Amino acid sequence: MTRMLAVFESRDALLAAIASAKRQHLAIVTALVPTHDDEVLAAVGVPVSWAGRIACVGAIIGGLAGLLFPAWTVEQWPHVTVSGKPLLSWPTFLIISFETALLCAALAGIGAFLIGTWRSRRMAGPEGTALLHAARSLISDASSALLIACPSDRAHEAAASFEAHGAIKCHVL
Amino acid sequence: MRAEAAFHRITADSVAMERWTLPGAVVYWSVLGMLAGMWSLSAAVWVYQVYHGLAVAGLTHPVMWGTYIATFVFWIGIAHSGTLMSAILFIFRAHWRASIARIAETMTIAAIMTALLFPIIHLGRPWRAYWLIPYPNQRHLWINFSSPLIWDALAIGTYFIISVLFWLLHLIPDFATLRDHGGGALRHRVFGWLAMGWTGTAHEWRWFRNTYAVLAGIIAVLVVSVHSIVSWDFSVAIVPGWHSTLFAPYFVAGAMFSGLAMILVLLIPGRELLGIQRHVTDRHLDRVAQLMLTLSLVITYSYGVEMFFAFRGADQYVHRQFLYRMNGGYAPLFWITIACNSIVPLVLFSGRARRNPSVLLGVAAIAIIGMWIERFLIVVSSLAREYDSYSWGTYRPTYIEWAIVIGSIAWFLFWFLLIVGHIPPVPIAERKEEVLRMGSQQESQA
Repeated sequence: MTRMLAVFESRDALLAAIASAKRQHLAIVTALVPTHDDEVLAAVGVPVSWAGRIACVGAIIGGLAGLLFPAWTVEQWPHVTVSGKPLLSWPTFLIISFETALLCAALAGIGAFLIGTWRSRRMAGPEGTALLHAARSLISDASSALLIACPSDRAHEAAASFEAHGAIKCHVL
Repeated sequence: MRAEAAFHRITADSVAMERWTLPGAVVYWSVLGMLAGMWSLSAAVWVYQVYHGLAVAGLTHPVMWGTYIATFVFWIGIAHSGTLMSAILFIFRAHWRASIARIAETMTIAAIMTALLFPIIHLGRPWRAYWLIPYPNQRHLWINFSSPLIWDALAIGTYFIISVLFWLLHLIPDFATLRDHGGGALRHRVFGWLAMGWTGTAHEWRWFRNTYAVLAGIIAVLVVSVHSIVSWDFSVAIVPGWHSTLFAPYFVAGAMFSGLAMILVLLIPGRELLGIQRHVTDRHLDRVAQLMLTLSLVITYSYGVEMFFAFRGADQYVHRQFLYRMNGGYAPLFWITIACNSIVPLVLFSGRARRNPSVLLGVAAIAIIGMWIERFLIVVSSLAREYDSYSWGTYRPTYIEWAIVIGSIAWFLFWFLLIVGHIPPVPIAERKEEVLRMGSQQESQA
């Protein structure tokens, strides 16, 4: 399969090209946009990320760790009390548990983000990655782009179609 | 194509802002140098204190917690508003946040860096600060997890880490823009490393937005919990004037109030210095002022509730403590607090005052002073008049303490200016999103 990157100066042209690619049954790898754009994301069909679910798992692990670690340390001094109160005090450990739950949720969320974005770039394949790197200075300014995968014999047809929708450049690798 | 032209202009503006030109650079680096000199002097004073002991700081029986703890609570309060405002306004889709979010978040980071110094400064033997960290050791000596001071260390550490992550995540697409536009090889390499390979694919944006929303939700909860925990340092102690269930919401409201005031104090001169007047307009200042006014009313209500329970409650010691605050040696501070936090902010009911940057700057500066005095009063007056009259005393900060407090202001401003001068002070990608949103609104209206 050949990777093709079509660069557009306008967002409307990108949306039209995505619709055209779908009509022609071309495999859309991803679109590149200068900012978060719900309409483009929906047109490309980007699934909801796992950030929330992974953060939840992080929160559960962090919360349990924050509860069990203080309890484990208390086990080491079974006869010590503080002003007559037992050292093993679940209500006070809950406060620690709450903070560690939030900390681990945030760390898990960021970890998921880093891995998720890295995997999404790898999804483009080595040729696609080279195309993404070549176009990124245009994308981080004002242009947008569409990355597709198609059989090499259909590359010219696809390029012609994108140019008809306003593509200013079509790179093929 | 109108949106794309606006995108291009935003990129060009942001890249130009990162290239300091004369005379802006001279002013910027001179201010930084002056601030560095100020906090270096304070550091020398702190070394003197470490050498001679905490007695030089005027901390003695019965007031063992004085200016340092009050200043610690003050800076934690300042730290709370920046990230909270950014996160809450994001959750409620208040799109005007875009212009001030970056400055507010950076303020949070500089303020936590300042606040974290004070527990260490307050220690007679600061080299033992690491005893707060639970670590395996030969004697199996663990810290007391039931102590509010340990909750405090954990909560503030958590808040610092999550605030930095939230701030960095927001910066990644902007770092990618700076990596790709202008500058030399070093700049390209540094911003390239910070952008972590960002290319702007639709999948990356999805991950970015979802993760940002998750962190915003976490921060909204975290901020309330952290300042509540800071308030429990006091309220779990059976000291008259501290032992109150009101403290947590009262501290959270106070923190947000002082933080908003600090945002105004930084934004009003800062927008000139950083050249972002077009992005941070009087409309933004007006909205921050409205929030500040609302929180001033909440604080005034809290003062009222505190007084009501003190004078209508059965505890004679609490009753006596509040009479002392109003009539005793610290009474001028009490009335200054009321004037600064409850009376002066009422000026903001006037729309003209809210749209006048000079008036706003004055009100915000007064509110910041008022909030510091409020913290000082809570900490000191309660300890100075506990239960038995033989243990009463008075406390006044020494020159050593004043020097360190002033140095902390210089330290805060130094880090704030240093960071904000080297990142886009207005979020680039979010401004572009704002353009898209306004464009689609105009289309739907047409």
